[in-house]
Amino acid sequence: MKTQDVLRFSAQSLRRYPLRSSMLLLAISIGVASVITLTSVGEGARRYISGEFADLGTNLLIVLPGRSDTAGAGLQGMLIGETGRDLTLDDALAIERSPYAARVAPLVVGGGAASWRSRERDITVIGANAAFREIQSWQLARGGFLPDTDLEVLSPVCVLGSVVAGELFGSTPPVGEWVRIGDTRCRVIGVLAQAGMTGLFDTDELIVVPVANAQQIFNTPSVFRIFVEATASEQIERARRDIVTIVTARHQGIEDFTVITQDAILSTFDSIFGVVTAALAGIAGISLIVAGVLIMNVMLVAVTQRTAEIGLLKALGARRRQILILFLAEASSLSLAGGVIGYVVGQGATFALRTAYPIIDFEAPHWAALAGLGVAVASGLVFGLLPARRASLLDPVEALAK
Amino acid sequence: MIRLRGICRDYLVGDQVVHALDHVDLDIGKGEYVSIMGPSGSGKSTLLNVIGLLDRPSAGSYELAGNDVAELDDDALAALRRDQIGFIFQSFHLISRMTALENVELPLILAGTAPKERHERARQLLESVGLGPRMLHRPDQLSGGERQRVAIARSIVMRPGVLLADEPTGNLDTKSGSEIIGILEALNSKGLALIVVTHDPDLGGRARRRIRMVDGRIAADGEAEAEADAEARPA
Repeated sequence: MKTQDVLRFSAQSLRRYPLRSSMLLLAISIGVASVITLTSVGEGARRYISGEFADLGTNLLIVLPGRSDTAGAGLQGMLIGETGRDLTLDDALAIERSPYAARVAPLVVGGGAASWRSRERDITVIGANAAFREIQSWQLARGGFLPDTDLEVLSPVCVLGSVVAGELFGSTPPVGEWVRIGDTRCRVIGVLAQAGMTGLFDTDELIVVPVANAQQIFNTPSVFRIFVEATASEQIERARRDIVTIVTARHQGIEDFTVITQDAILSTFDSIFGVVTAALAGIAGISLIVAGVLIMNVMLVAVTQRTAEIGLLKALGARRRQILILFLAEASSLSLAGGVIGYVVGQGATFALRTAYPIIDFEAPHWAALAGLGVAVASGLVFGLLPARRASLLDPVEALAK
Repeated sequence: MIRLRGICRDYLVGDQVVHALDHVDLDIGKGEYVSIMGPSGSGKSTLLNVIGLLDRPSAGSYELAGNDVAELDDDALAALRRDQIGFIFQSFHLISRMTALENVELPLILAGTAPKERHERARQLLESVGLGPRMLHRPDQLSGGERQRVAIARSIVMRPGVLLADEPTGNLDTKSGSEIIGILEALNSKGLALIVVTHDPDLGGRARRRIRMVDGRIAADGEAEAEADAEARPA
């Protein structure tokens, strides 16, 4: 039997049973396409989140009050109502003196009402300093950012997020206008460029004031977080130890705060989203199994219907191997074609998602695409070949009678 | 060329053993024209299937063209079927998606014959059975008689030594039936052994040698005319 005869034989039988062929193509391609699309959603979400955290800035360390692990005074402290000392501006100033700290930005966050003339809205108020813009890589649409002054200096100025600026001022240029925040007034000196969620904040929906002013607005001596940028990524660990030493000394030798590095956050989220991706892969796996069952049924029915044909081939002198080769060629061309169609459709759907939501980088991991293809093609092959093999083992007269 | 000794074929129906063939001894020589008749269930089709290597006997020995069939494996049986036996079925058993020409070429394809040669052979055979103009038609575009002629062309395309026909006219009207018989007898007159299983006494009566089967045994085996192949008689 010659190769081109085998190919012609299988091409002919695929062409002459269009319903069966298209059903199989459909089953296989749905299986592959759903695996690719679903895993691309999971992978896209994972990348989006880790990208957001990468936006926090490289070499970043965050100091927050309280111990987040059980090793310190945490549990006991919580039980007896002792929450440890808050972080203060003086802590931030002390950290600034560390040789490993390139930039230090204490942060105060709270909610407040901002108003201009008759318009008012509730808003997130952030007390920060000039270094915070560098750390966050914020861009300005208009005006400037907070002046680079000492942390304790009060200065009645503010920078608006783009949505806030639009809602309060409409078409009036906001720079130079006076805005009321709580009981204080401040002059608008800049507007942030539209950027949406970057890192922890929705930059479009906030007002930034000097950290000392924010403490005054919220009537608090403490700061919410201290952001520290290390001088280089190799210095992160040294910076962390230095910060711990400095702040512990200032807190009477008690380590009642936590320093987290971006790496730690990222790896936490990576593992969370690894689980999310795995869950989606599980869903995809189920759809693959469903597709596999569909493939199995169509193939079983299709080949079983052709038991008589296999009997005839045997009666005409076909060896078992020849029969298997004929059916293998048919099943493999169908499975491969279905796999390729499914791959293209899946990647197409992924591309469509990317186009619809450009901020999320949808892309199926290679292993998922390969596994999808592999399982679909393999089930097509196995369930195409098994019944053919069984029929070829029958005596011709038995097969012919079916 | 065909030599059966003590051939049995038992089936299990429910928990009862049915002896479709019960110790059959039979010799058929080159170029003989044999009809096998008998009531339904007498085992005549089973006998033909065993001779055609489509079915395996439960016991006994079968020698075909010098080969002891019991000793052959599946592939050797396939080769023997391909090269020695032409089989014609009551229901034609053509592959419906293939043209008449492709159906006739199929055994040659399985044998690995070059496309040009097998085209030529299949074409010549289809012309010889009067299907020259219709050889690119598919079975569903052909009449019953035409389909059976395609099947005959297919059965002889490998130039076998024996042609086995199981009720070859069973699905045909009288006119097509007699045309088919004419073609088969013409092939027999060129030296091809012809074994026909039939219900039809007119058809069975045409054979030089008539075998009558009852309950899996050969009940009668006789010559139509005294001068028919004496050497081919059962020993």
